[in-house]
This record gives sequence, C-alpha cells and structure tokens, in this order.
Amino acid sequence: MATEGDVELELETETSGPERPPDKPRKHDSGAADLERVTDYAEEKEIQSSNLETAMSVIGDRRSREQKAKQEREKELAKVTIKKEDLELIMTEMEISRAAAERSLREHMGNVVEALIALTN
Amino acid sequence: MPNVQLTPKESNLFKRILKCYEQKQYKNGLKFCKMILSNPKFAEHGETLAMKGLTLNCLGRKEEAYEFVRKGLRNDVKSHVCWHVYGLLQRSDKKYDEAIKCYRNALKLDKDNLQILRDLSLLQIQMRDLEGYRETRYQLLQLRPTQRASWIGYAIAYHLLKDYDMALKLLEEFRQTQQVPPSKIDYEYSELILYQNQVMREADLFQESLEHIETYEKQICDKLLVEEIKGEMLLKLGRLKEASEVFKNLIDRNAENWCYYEGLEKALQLSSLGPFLPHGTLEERLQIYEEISKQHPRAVSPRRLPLNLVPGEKFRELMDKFLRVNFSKGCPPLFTTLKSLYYNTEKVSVIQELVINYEDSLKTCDFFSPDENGEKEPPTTLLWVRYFLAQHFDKLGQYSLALDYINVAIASTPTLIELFYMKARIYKHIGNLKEAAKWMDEAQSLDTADRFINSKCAKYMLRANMVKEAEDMCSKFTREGTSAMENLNEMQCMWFQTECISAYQRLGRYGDALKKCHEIERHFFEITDDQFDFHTYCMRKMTLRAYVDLLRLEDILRRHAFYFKAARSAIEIYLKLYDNPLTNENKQQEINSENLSAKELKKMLSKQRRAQKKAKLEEERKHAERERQQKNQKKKRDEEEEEASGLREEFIPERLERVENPLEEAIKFLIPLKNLVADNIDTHLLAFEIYFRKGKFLLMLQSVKRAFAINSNNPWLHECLIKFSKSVCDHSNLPDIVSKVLSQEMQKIFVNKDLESFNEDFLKHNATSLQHLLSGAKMMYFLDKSRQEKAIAIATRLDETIKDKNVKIVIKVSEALLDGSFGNCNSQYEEYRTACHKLFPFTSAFLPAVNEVDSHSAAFNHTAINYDVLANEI
Repeated sequence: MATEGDVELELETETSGPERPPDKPRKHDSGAADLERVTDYAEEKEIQSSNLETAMSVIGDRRSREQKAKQEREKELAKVTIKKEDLELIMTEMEISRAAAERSLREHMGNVVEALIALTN
Repeated sequence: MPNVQLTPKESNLFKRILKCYEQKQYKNGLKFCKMILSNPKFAEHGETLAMKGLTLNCLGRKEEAYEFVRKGLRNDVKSHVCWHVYGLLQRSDKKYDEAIKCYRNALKLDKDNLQILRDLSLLQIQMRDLEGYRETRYQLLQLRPTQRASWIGYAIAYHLLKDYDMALKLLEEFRQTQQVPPSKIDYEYSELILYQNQVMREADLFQESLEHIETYEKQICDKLLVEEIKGEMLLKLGRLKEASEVFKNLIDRNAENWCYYEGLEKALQLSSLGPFLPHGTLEERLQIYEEISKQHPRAVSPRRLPLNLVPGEKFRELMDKFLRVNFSKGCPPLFTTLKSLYYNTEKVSVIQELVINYEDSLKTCDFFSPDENGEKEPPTTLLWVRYFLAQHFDKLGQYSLALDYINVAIASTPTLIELFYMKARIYKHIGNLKEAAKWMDEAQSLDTADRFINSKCAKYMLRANMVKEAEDMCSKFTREGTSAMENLNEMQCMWFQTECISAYQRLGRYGDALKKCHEIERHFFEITDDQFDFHTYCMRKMTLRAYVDLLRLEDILRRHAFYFKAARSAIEIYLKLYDNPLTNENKQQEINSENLSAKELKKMLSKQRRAQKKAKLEEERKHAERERQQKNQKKKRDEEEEEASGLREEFIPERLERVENPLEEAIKFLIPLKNLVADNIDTHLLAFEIYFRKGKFLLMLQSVKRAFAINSNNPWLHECLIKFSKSVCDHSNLPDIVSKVLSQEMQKIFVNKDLESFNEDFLKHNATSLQHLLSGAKMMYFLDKSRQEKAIAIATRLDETIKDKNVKIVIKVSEALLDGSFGNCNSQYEEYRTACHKLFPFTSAFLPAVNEVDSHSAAFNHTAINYDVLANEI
C-alpha cells in the first residue's frame, strides 16, 4: 500500500481541464461553469456570545407548550369513532388520500354527509 | 466479514474520500476508494463501496453508482453512512420521498448526526413539510447553538409557519449575538436587519417596524428601501405630515414611480384610496402635480397622472397639452400610456376629437390647429398622429378606419417598422390571421437583426397555424447545429411553445400539441427543482428576504399563465381523445373485415402478410442504411449527451395521443390548477368536464359549487349546471349518502326550478349578451331536440340590441353551428356565415368557402384602392 506521501504526488488539482466531470450540455444557464464549482461545503462561522443559554431556555419552554397543544388536539380527534365504509366512500368519491379523508371525517365528528359537503366547498 | 473495522491508515483514507466528495474532487476520491478496496481485507467494506458509488454518480455514471451504493448498504446495513449515502443518491435522482426515508433510517442509527439532519432539513423545506422542517431545525439548534445557520433556519421555519412572534424573538436573539459596531457597514448584517423588519411588517407591527428601521438606518445598505418602509409605516400609523415629507423626497429621487404619488396623495388626504376621508378638492390635487411638474420638467408621470382624475373641459385642456408634446417629440408608446383611460367613453371621445383635428390641420398647414403661427411641426408629427389614430380606432373595433389611417401612414413612410407591426395587429383583431402574419413578416423584413420583431413575426405565424414557417423564422436567432424547435425547448422559451400548442390543437395534431404541453410541464418541474441549491446558499449568504420571496414564488409557480395555458390545452385535448379515441390502423382493418366471407378473409390476410413482409424488408434495408449514415455523427454527440440527459425520456407524439387513460392524464394537469388557480372560474369548469366523464358526482358538485361562487352567471357554467343536473336525474342508483349530499347542495343552486325553466330564466336574464344566448340556446336543444329551430334562431341573433357582437364571439357561434351542438344545420350555418360576412368583411372565417383566396384578395384589393385614393389626397 502506498503511504500518504505517495498519494499526495498522484493527486491532481481540480482545475486541470480533462480531469473535470463531463460537462452537461450548456443550457440557458451560461453561468453553469461557475455554479459547478460551488460546493455545499463551507466553514461555519461561530457565534461568540455568552447569553445563548437564556435564549435557548426561552425557546425550549415555548416549544414544549406547542407540542402539548398539538397532542391534545390529536387525542381529541382520535376519540371520534368513524366507520370504515364512510371512509372508503369519501376516498373514492373525492379522490383523496386516506389520511385526508380520515382527517375530514374526524373533524366532522364522523358525520359523513357534513364531511362531504365541506369537501365540496 | 464485510463489516470490518478499518485500520487507522485506511480510516484516514476514508476521511479523505469524504473530503474529496465535499470539495467535488471526484477523481481523487475514486483513487482513495481504490486504495482501500484493493486491500483484500477491505475489498467488501460497505461504507467505502457506498462512497465509491456516490462519487461515480457525480461523474455521471448513474447505473454503476446505484450498484455500488446498494452493494455497500447490503454489506453494512447498520451503518448510518451507507443509509445517508443511499439517501443522497436518491436525492440526486429527484426521488425526494425515498431520500427522506433513507435519511430517517440513517438518523435511527445516529440520531445526532449533524450532516444528516442538515440534509434532511433541506429535503423537508424543498417538499414544504414545514412542521417537519421546524422539528429538524430545532434539533440542529440544540446540537449547535453556536452556529449562525442554526438560528436563522429555525427562525425561518417559524416565519413560514406564520408564527411571527417566535420568529422575531429568535431573530432578535441572534442579532444581539452579531457584534457589528454601529459605524461599520456590513452587507450581511444589513440584510439580516431588513429581514427582521420584513417579518415585523408581515406581522402588522407598524410601530415596531418604524422604530426598528430608524434605529438601524445607518447600517442598512439599501437606502431607498429604508425610505420606502418609513413612508409606508408612517402612513399606516396615521402620521401623515411626516409621511408626506418622505414621499416628496422619494419623488425627488424618482419622479416616474406611480406608487410614490399614490403614497403622497394618501398622506395629504387627497385620494379616496387612503384610509382617511379625502379632504382635498380636485384643484388641490391638480396643484400638487403641477408643482412637481415644475420641479421635474422632464418627468412624464406628473403630467400623465392628472389625466386619470379630471373630467370635462379641464381634461381636454390637459390632454391637449400632453398629446402635443408627445406627438412633436415622436413618442411611439404614446397610445400605450393612454390606453388605460379607454374605459371612460367621455375621455375617449375627447381624445378622438383632439387627434382628428390635429390630423386635419397638420395635413394642410403643419400646425396642430389652423389658427397657430410660429414654428411649424416637422413632418414626423403627422406620421405619429396617424399611427395613434390607427391604434385608437383599432381599440374601438372600427377596423376599416384603423386600416385607412395605417395605410396612409405607410404610404408616407414605408420604412417604419412600427407601422407594419400595427397593420398586422389590426388584421389580427379582425380575425384574418394569415394577412396579419404576412404584414408582420413585412415588418420583420425591415430589420432582420431585431429579435423582438422576429419573435413577434414567429408568434403571428403560429397564430395562422404556420408552424414550419414560424420555426424557420426563429432559427435566425437560435443556435446553429440543432433544430430551432429543440433549441427553444432547451431555452425554456415558453411563449413559443404555448403558441405551438394552440396551433397544433387547431390543426388537430394532438400528439404534437401534447408533446409541447408535457415539455412545458417539465420546465416548471425543473424550475421547482432548481430552488434546491438555494436552501443552503441563501442561509449562508444571509440573503433571507430574497430567499423567502423565492420560496413563496415557487409555492405558486404553476399559477403562471404559461402553465395555465399548457394545462388548459392538455386537458381539452385529453377530453377530446377520451370522447373520440384514436384507433390504431390494425383496429380499423378489423372493422373492415367484418363483412367479408371466410375465404375472402383468408385470401386477404395472406396477401396482407406478404405485403407486410415485403414492406418490412424494405423498411429494414432503409433503416440499416440510415443508421450507418447517422452512426458516425451520432456517436460523438451521444457520448457527450447520454450521461447528462440519461433520465430525460423523449416525448413521442404518437404515443401521447394514444394514451391509455386520458382522463387520468388530464387530472395530472388539473391538480395544480385546483390548488393554485382556484380563483379562475375556468379551472373549475375544466374540472367539471373531466369529472363529468368520469362519473364522479361529488367532484362535479365540487366544481360547479366553486365556479358558482366565482360567477353564477357564467355561460359555460350554465351549460355545466344543466348537464350536471340532467345526469343526476338519469342516475337513480347512486349511493344514498351521495344522493343526500347532492340534493341538499343542488337545492341551493336550482331553487326547485325544473331544468327547462332554469334555462328559460337564464335566457331571459341575459337577452342582450350573445355569449349567454349561445349557451342558453345550446342547452335548449340539448334538453329538447324538437326545439332545434327556436334554439338556432336565438343563437344566431345579430340585431341591434345585442351588446357583445364582436369577431371572437360571433366565430364561436358559427363554430357551434358546425360542431353538432345544434344537430345538423348546414343551411342555417350558410345563412349565418353570409350575414356575418357582411358585418365583418375582412374576417377570413366568414369568407365564402369555395373561392376563398379569390374573394379574399378581391376584398383586399378593394381596400387597397381606397388607400391609393387617400394616399393621393396627401
């Protein structure tokens, strides 16, 4: 196996023409050449500040409250009983996904007629 | 064992592979891969194999890439690197949903991996999973609170979810960590502040926004925007005196921005547009403009805007001044600047009177009015006056007058492109598209190096269904070596493609039209896809306002008129193909053979087989020859293109028009319209036509309800409603729930009327509108075939009471007489055509069918003589 020093010798710099990947056919983007060189890699700039911690705690509180409210709403919706054939009727008649159909049916407390009227609005 | 630990040396190499990938040094990356894999101990090392695949993918070797990445993953399914790599590969292949799954698997194995979280967040924002994005950004912030991107990304998530309060909190916390001295101007800091201010304004926090912008004014680079924000906020806060000062300053900076004048009027409480009662009289308002006009003698706006406000004598006076200056100067877009006044008939007649008087006077004495003296007007003044009059009468639909003026102008100055351009436009409005294209070609020939006129000419040719000619015209400016059609597609030249669609549609070449529709759909897909790179780039460069604008633009991208046009045509064509599917040639033969005896059939079949065999051989021979010829040149090109455009399948017209399920294809084009263009009634009416054919009653209901809410008196909607209601009556076997919803909801629209009386009411309420009468008449015949005569009589009314008797609508009526909407009615069609021909002598659709060319040129010669007479008069 080659040692690291040997490797260094074999490497070519990226600017040498023939080594570059085959160019895409030039399209409307004449600046494509420049864009090709842009990489996702960038050194991150670091923030130097002492009061990050207080800021972080504010955010944390807020977030947990949000999640709680969301969970409660979901729980409430989950309690609603719905019929499978209603669900399937909505899916085929309105051509929507199961998730969307179920959500609408639950939001209308399982009342299929009301759910359909809302969906046709 | 595939899942082996690398030795320190190899693991060092592996790190370098990653680095090479990040820095796009793919060849070097492959070399390092080879160095690891060539060691027999690590030949099956999963992560290295995966990385090799990923690197190969970047070099365009997609198939190998998948092979290696999958192999790597198989060898090491417990590796987050392998899953991550698989995700990246899927992402580059635009399979975003699959990629998200891979990232999630990777995160299960390494839940705090920054790079994977970052990549996941990019996909989430790309797919607009905003809740998911917020979650991921939260984790990133938790892991790296010291990084700028963590804060900004999290703030943007809240901003996009319209939680301004939290977004502002985050931005402010972040801003405080940026230690930029107040004296220093830093572009990124400036952008951050402006973004913060944008969020405040969106949250309606006017006071905060104003204070904020005043505090950081010195550190903002975009000085103009600072002033604009101040003006807007002062207005919102009712601090009018200060606001008026700001807007006056803005006008001093740029006296042609109409928004500043609007702001100024609001601040001075002059305009009724503002939130405060207008106190100003007309005189006060005019005075403001006069003052500004004195300060900025060369500005047009302070002289143009008062024309919107004043009526009567004062209007005549101001308009007179305005017109004279512009005519003397020779200002081609003069008519365009005044066009917005044409909704007001009083103003139109004043303009007409003034300009006609100029023409009379200039013709005889070179003055705007005969009783003037002093310096004479140059001869160009008369030319521009006539050019204006041609546009004026064209706008009013008095086409022969318009033609008269333009022809006199051309006779005096046969080298001015604008004149030919205008002549073509007049013919377009008349409905004689061949003639229009001819004159645009003439205009184009005067300056073949002008791309604008070249494109216009191509467009007019397409309107006249001259696709080949249009392509040739465009080829003067497209790249050599490829066909113009291909090049224009590559350049995403969508005006050309949408016009092509319409031309092919009119020509009945549905496959070609669909090909163009799909090409446009692909452009939109690519534009959506192009935003991917900006998710990282903008956050790094802090161009957050532009970034959020971009996201919002992409959200509603398919609202664009180009998409709507393409989608509309695609849907119309798919509906047609559903109603009348194209048969294959084989099928046609089958039908023919039905009435042959067995013996004859056998004979015929064997004969056919022989003929086919012969034809096939011939074909193969030709094909081989062609192939040999093309091989050499193609080989080169292929090698270059194959890799890059490997996944772009070609659209084949023949296949597109024989698609198995046209309605499903139509729905694909419909869905974006339903989501984004719900305010356009046509969206819902197109939707209705699809669901009607699919027999989906509740979706039909949805379509008509939405359309009804937009405009309950739309003629097309009326047709849909009648067909819908009749269809519901004809289907007695609908599920109970469906019938219940239908009857409950339809009651709101039909209010217990039966269909006949519903139709009669519609006709009665719209007795002076031809387009409504046409729809009502069609439905009359649809409901009761015995009333054909009465229905046709209604549709073909041309009497004086009809208000919308223009070329477009009259053509629609004549088309309806031909397409079977009224059954068989050839004689009535002939009568109607003759009547219309009298009404619109130049419109090609109404010319007698037999010797179209002769009579056409006769009509043309006739007018030509007129021009000569006029020209001689000069």
